[in-house]
Amino acid sequence: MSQNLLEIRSLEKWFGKLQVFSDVDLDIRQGEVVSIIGSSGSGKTTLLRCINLLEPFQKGTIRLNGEEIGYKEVGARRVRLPESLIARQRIHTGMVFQQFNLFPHMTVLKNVTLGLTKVQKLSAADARAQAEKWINRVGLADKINAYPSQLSGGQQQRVAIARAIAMNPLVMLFDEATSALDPELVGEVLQVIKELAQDGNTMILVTHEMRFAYEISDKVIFMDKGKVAKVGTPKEIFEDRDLPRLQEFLSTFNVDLGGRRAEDRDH
Amino acid sequence: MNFWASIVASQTTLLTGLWNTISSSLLAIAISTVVGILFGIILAYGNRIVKIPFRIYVDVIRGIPGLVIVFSVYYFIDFWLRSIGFALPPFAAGFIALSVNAGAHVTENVRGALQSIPKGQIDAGKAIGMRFGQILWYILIPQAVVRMLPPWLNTITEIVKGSSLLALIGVAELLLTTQQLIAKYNNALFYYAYVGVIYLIINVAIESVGKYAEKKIGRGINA
Ligand SMILES: Nc1ncnc2c1ncn2[C@@H]1O[C@H](COP(=O)(O)OP(=O)(O)OP(=O)(O)O)[C@@H](O)[C@H]1O
Ligand SMILES: [Mg+2]
Repeated sequence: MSQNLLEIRSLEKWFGKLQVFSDVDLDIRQGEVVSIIGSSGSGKTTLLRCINLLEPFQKGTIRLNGEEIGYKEVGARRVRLPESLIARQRIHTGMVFQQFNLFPHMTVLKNVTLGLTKVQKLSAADARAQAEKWINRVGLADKINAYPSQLSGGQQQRVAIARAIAMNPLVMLFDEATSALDPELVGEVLQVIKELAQDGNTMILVTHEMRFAYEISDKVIFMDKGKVAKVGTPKEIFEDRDLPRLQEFLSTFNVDLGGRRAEDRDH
Repeated sequence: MNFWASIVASQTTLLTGLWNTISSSLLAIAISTVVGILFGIILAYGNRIVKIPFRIYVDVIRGIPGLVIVFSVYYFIDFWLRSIGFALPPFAAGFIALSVNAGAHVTENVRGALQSIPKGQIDAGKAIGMRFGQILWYILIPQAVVRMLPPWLNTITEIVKGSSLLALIGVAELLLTTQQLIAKYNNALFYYAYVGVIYLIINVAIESVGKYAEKKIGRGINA
């Protein structure tokens, strides 16, 4: 078995006649935190959705824990697995969406237990215990019986994180988890994500929070014009001197990495 | 017979009529709801080819007056059954026609309700590993029910009002029994007003039960 938890090879994705990306290769080891950055429309969301098998892709392979997911080779033909099998493979990846996508007709507790009882077939008591643990971890113990519409955006996103991580996935995928939030609510969600990273969870983050990506990531990927334009350590990416497109992209963010003030560093 | 005596005497007849109106409506509500949920799910999530006959059913029925549907079902089924030696009671033809008609409307209610649910709900269900049947049952249908309740109540009151068309194929429902009473006792104005009030009471009752149900099941959505 390979030592990579996630292994993407020559991935290619089309929406009809629009090629979103091609030749995407990516290796992620157990416990690694990988950020994906790039301008709007560069295919970051689509890549995460392919990894979670929410989108079909036309070429390439994704291996999770050594097993190819989503497709299989039948002779020379490549066929997508039936939805029931795909549903089972999706259990190993957790996804947090930009728009939270909580179930509005269910309480916080029910949002988190749904997958535990219906997919993992835990007993009601076990599911509840597991859900409560994660709801506490994201700091929402007092909101356990609230409906999503009664929560702030930041609280909703923390519930969404609890819902995903409670399933105990091998990889967590975050698609701009803080982009839909009011600025004052961003911090509480980033804090939760940071703690999950420190616990050793393997995660891929699509983000426009450059400071956060710099601090939290083991590896940063810059996507540009449908390709992975550069992969490197945060230092290699944010202090890049070779790739004008990357420098141009970063310059739109005002990322202040060198001269950080001491009090900022403590967050 | 004086006026008051004739009204007292007509209550049993009216009660039979009321019973036929209610029972044919209830049957039509039940059948059209089951049909509508099934067809609505197919129209919302089905394969393009599979959808075609259901789309045709909905569009054709919704484009035809209720009365024409009642007559068509009655004569078509009657003709077909006679050819194999059966006779169709008008009551059966009546509630089938009401169901065929209302089924198309409920189908549209259900399809519209399902398609108004944000796509992200399906993604979120898939992301926690649910199969489509589970997503439908635990995530989409509960939200669709809340959204389709108002149009569905509307369809129900249309069914009750539409059941008066069954008078024309000889079902002794409220309207037909009223007409029989008018033939017997005269006083058309009074009897039509009387039966109008009964229809009104039924529909107001349906509305208020519906309003209550909306509040009850709308938690989290109609917050
Ligand atoms: N369902 C879809 N159908 C057709 N085209 C799509 C669809 N989803 C995305 N696209 C297109 O694919 C390209 C990549 O989109 P994607 O959402 O992955 O970009 P992104 O990098 O996440 O952008 P952003 O930073 O704005 O979120 C865009 O050109 C987009 O218009
Ligand atoms: Mg995106």
